[in-house]
Amino acid sequence: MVDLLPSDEQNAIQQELVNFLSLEMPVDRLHQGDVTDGIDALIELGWLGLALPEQAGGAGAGLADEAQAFRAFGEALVSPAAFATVLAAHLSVGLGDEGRARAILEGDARVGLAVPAAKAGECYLIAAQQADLLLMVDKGCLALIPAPDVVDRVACDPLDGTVDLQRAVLGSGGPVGEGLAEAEYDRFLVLLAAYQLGVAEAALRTAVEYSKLREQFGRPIGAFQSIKHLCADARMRTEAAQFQTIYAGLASQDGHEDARAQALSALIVAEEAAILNAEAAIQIHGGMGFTDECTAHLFLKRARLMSRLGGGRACLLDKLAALS
Amino acid sequence: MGHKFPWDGRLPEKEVRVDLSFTQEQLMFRDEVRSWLADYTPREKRPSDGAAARAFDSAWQLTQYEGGWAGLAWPEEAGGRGLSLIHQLIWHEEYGRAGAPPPGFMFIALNHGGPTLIAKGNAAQKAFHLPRILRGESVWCQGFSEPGAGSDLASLKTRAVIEGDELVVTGQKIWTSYAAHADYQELLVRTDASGPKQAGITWVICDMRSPGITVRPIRTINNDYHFNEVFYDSVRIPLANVVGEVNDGWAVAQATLAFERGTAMIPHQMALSRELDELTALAKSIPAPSGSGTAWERDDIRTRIATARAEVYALKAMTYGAISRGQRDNVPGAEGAIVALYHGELAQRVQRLALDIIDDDLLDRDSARGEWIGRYLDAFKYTIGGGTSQVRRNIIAERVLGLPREKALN
Repeated sequence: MVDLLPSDEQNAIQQELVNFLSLEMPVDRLHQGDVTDGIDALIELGWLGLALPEQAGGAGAGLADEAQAFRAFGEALVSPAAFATVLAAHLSVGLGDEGRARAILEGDARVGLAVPAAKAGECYLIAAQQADLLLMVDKGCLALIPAPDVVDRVACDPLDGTVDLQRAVLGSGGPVGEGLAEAEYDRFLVLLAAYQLGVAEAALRTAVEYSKLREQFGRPIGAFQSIKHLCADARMRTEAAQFQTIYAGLASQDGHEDARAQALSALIVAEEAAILNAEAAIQIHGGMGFTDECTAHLFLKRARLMSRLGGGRACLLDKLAALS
Repeated sequence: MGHKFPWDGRLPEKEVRVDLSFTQEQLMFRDEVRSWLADYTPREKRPSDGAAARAFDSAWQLTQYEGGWAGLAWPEEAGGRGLSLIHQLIWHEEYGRAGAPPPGFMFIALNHGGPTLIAKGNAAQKAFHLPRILRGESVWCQGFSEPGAGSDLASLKTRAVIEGDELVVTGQKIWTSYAAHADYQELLVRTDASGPKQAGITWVICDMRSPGITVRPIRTINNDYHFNEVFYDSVRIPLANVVGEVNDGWAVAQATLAFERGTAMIPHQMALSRELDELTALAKSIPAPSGSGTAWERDDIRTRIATARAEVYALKAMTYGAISRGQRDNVPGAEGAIVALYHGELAQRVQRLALDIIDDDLLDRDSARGEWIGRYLDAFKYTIGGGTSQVRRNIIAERVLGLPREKALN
């Protein structure tokens, strides 16, 4: 029966993850130069295999449950390597290679991300220093390529300084298997939307907490309508992103005809929520928001980094328009 | 290697997880609704003239009553169907799909007056009014807003003095839709001005044919006359018409809101989705506002339509979310303001986009696409009526996010 709110049981599982992340991977870690990606700990606890089949070492949950986990990853700004790892495991299962899926889920094969650069034949590698495999994402096409096929790596000055970024040249080797990536595209969109939803929620929380504490003109700035309305609009965006992401996850899981359009819509609204909420959080923090020590900019930079994976807003809108 | 899942590897059973499916019984209900609506939905266009429109709305309500579809959300003891929120959702989805006419003149009676009587009315009030409302025999209007009491409704000043077993009402109401053709009014009056402003308000049923009532139509920006000013010059209303207690009207008015548990936005969401479909088809068929090709071939137009499409999907997901909340909480939370705000702003964006597309027909309401002009102008009601976008943002900030309340100056 229609119900888009998690049950108490689902919330309890979600709370386990949120508790773990807030204890072991608080967002503040990124201020302290913590460069570990946390993948080992997440693997150890089984969170990355949540929706992988049991024979591949997963827990066999559905996309909607997996999306809830990614929402928590987004809130904690967990490394994009987690996203790469989970998608790579799903792609491997889709290619019939459960052995590789198992190796990925057990941490024996590390996965990073690759997106195309402006110059043909070049790409950017994201969180891929120790990667054995790369999840190549190009305007919605997904492929797994062996990391050694990418050569001439050089370090870059990254937009998001909390994630390793390299520029590199694509070698001549082709992807690991062909053609099955399309089947995982809805999952890719929904999990990315869920991550962005988490970023949007965390940015909103930061903004609201500060609005209650910071006083000017003898009262908390959150008492002023100008600040209230920025927060209210941010809350409205998370509401849209939350329910559209859950809806899209279920539509995909249940094989609805419009699942692709729903998934694209989820990422369109969630990505906008993440970016605009993080911008609002910086604005509400005023001078503090302009400093490196404030958390708000970390949400904005991560939202922008992750938005590259979906190919950008124009690409998503074109795909949705093509379905109209 | 076996993973140590923190939840012992057990996932919740299907019955207790997020879900987007309908049960077999619900699917059968949908078939029943669909086939009834296919047979009985009026084929003729709803008249725009007041008296004819009232007769049309009344007849359609009677048809629904006779078919057993009146008062779906009302409890059975009040003569309604007492349907679950999901069944109501199905009804509204099919109603929208069938292109059935809006309740129009019946809206206040079915969604405000009736529910208030069900929650707070006495036996005599219920016995007299509820069957008439369900059969479409009586039209109600709302007497809440005043020239000096809009967003700040509790500061209303229309005065009622108790004389014997009557209230004597003097003052003015405004923005009263359908007043000229209404039989009854849900009227908020000031019965005590000495204490806090919320404390001295009384909710009373006013017979619109009472001597001393004058209705003056107000022309809207869309050139129609559905709303009015209502003047009260020593209008005598029996005390028996007071619903709840004298001076307890603010609580009575809030009780109506508890009736709404997430379903109110469904017809709006369905209508907006349909309009966006029409607009998409239109963009594909008409020449671009400038240059060559169709409007759809212009990147700016196409991406704005695609953006609206994503947001209209999100609006539907949000209404499903609101219903999910409604199934858990008996009293609706302030979250209802979120979906109302989202809808209002989105509806305006869609209509703004429409006017950018129709271009050649922009000046002439009688032109081939002139109906979009009226829709554009009418869409302002979604960001003003029933709470402005600004008031909704205050509600979200204060009651959902817990930001400090602003102290009133008075």
